[in-house]
Amino acid sequence: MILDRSHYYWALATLSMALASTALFWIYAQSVPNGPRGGTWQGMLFGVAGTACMTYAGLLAGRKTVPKWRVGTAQTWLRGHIWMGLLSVPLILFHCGFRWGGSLEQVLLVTFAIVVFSGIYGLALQQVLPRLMSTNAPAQAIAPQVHIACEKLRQSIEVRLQKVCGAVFLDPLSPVAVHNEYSPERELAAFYWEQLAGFLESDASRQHDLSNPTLASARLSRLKESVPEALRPVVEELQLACDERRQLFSQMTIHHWLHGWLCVHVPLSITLLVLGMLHVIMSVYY
Amino acid sequence: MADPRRLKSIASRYDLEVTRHRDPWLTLRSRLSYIFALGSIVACLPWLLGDHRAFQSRCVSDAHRVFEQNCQNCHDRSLVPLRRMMTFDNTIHSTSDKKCRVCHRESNEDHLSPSITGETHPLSKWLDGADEISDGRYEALKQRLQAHFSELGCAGCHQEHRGHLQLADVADAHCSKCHSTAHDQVSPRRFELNFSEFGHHPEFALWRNRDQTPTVPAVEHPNPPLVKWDGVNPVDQAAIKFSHHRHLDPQLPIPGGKTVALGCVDCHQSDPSGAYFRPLTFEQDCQRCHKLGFPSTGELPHSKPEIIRGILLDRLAKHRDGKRPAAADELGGPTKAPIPAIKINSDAQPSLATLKPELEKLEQQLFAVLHPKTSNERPRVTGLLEAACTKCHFTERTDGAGEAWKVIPPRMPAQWMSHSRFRHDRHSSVDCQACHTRNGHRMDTVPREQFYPVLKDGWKESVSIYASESAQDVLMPRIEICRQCHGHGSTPGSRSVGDRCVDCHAYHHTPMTSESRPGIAELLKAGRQGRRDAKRAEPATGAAP
Repeated sequence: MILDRSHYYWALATLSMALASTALFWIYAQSVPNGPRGGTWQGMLFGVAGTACMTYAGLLAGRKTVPKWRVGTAQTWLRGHIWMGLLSVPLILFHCGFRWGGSLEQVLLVTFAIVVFSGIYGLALQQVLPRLMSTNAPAQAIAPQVHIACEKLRQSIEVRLQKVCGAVFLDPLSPVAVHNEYSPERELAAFYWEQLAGFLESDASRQHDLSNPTLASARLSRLKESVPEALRPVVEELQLACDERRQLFSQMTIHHWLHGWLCVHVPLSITLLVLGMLHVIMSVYY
Repeated sequence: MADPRRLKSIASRYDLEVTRHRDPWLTLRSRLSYIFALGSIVACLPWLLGDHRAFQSRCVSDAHRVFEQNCQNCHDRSLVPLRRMMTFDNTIHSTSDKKCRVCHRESNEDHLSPSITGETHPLSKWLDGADEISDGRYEALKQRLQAHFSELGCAGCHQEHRGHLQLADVADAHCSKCHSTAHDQVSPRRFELNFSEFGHHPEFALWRNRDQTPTVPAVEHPNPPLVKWDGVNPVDQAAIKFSHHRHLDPQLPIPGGKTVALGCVDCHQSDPSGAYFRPLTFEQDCQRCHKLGFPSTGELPHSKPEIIRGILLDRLAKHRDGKRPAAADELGGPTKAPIPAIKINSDAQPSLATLKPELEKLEQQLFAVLHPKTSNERPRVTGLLEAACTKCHFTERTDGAGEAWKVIPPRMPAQWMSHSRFRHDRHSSVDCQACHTRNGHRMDTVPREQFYPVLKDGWKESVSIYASESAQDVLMPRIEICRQCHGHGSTPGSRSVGDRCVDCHAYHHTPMTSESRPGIAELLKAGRQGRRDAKRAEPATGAAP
């Protein structure tokens, strides 16, 4: 989610509530012997407020599972997720009185810190990476179907080359074919099978020679020079296919960065909610 | 170059059955979430089923570590935190006083407990002096405070789960909650009740002059009987004669023609606790150099006048027939002339009437003859048996039949500043003279040798203990001496010099005796015995129809 003007009121409300709770905490901290603790009624109220914020933030995942429910737009939930999650930080710190607490509380605080920082990290990535992806990979595909896009790309190129090269396309490197005279179709087909086919595979290596745009451009330019005028549009199509495959590589890299942090953020958020509930039950009972 | 994708149909690039292709990141995320959720529940099971230590907000104090595995060992009221939050009342605790007293059987003596507001407690006169408070506010205040302390309970001040801190380490705020505001509610004012930290602590009552602090009349403080003001300084009212100057002479002559340099600890020896000093006794601290009696009386015990009279009578009766040998002087001092024999009919038993003149003469020597004021020079020790009672005590003649003389009790307090507590052993790094000076102010740095052999006129006004020639000097420190080290801020558990209320003051005044505090071992023993009895009772119960 991009932080834009639509977040203005959310940010303002969060800041106001954070300042108000800070003032309340200051008054509270002055009034209790031995300093603020989670066990006082003031501390517990901070805890309840913080837990409510965290729970609301955690409900985003539940909201996604029932997109048809008319309980606010996904955008609103995501904004709430961000700002309520951030508001929970001072509230939880006020609840624990800036102390580590016991073993469970320490685990909770560490988990909470990782969740918050991973969330901020993810939010920061989302401000940069989607634009970077649009710039660097205009030929981006649906992420889960990148391998299908690669396969389709390879098939389309092969169909095109078979149409142009004819029978020689299928076996351009056989001894019989090599023994015959030079033919641009065979040159084209040989280039494809020797270099391009492997690059267009969905499981192609990023270390492939054609991943380097300069090298790819040089080789395709030389091929273009060696074929007659009639075949040059075909070479240009091969060049476009190379570019597209390279963009798909970039897209996957950016996609990993854009979604990798969620593998930390989401499971630890679940852990936080489970342990938090345990903490609440034991604390309220005793 | 035109983007050829635009020329392609979507179908040519993707599989339109999107749901068949789940994002691997999403799959990984879901699996990790399930694993983490289940993992956290499984990891918490041992804690839920038995060992509750992980749920503590912080570990309990060291003394309570044996109970910490099960919350219910102390928390006998459930859902109290919820009630605390709903009622906005932090005085509700999930641990009842009853639970505390399972082990802590000593009574919860506080400022206002009926058993402590007796004759001995400093607040007793204040609380029971209803006649001095005509407007009836006393009763209301007393009831309110009693209700407050009762509601507060043990856990009100002794807050657990603060790490390894001692529970007795109570924060100042618990005290200052009342002591910073009660000055408007209590009349007449007996104590300073308008300060909240050591920096604002008033001068010790011992040193408060009525003229300087008119709002807190020092004369009404329990301590003043020990001292009276001569206009400038308090005068120790102890009925004793003693010169620290004389006894701290670095060349103090002792019997045998030798000299010794006594230090404070030669007489003031710490008690077993190390906090204070054991009371000074004649036998332990004086007798080595000052044997009570004269050659004419023989050595006498440091005892009551009537016992002394009995001993003297006994000795007179035993030697009625002839010359009594002079008492041996261990140091070979000049032999006194033998006491003239009392001419008594040897056939008759000596009666009190016949011995009385001689007895009175000896008693006069012991109880009435004042020791000549010593000169400024060092005394010469000629013999041990040269000390009468009047060397140290004040005496007066009585008309009683059993005793003719009475020694005025010295009225030396076992502890000065009875509202406070002090640990001398924790101040052993500081010289005694640094705190104990003649007027409570800071010590001057004149070396000890300057005061001897003769106390020059210029040094007589010195605050040093070496210039103290009289027992009337009050040698207790003022608060300014404490503030040289204390009062610069400290927090519970910190290593800085303490300046909190509990560092010097006690709330529970009753000492913990072995009778009142049975100890953990006895409780455990009782618990084991109880379990054994229960086991024995089980088969019997089972066999019953």
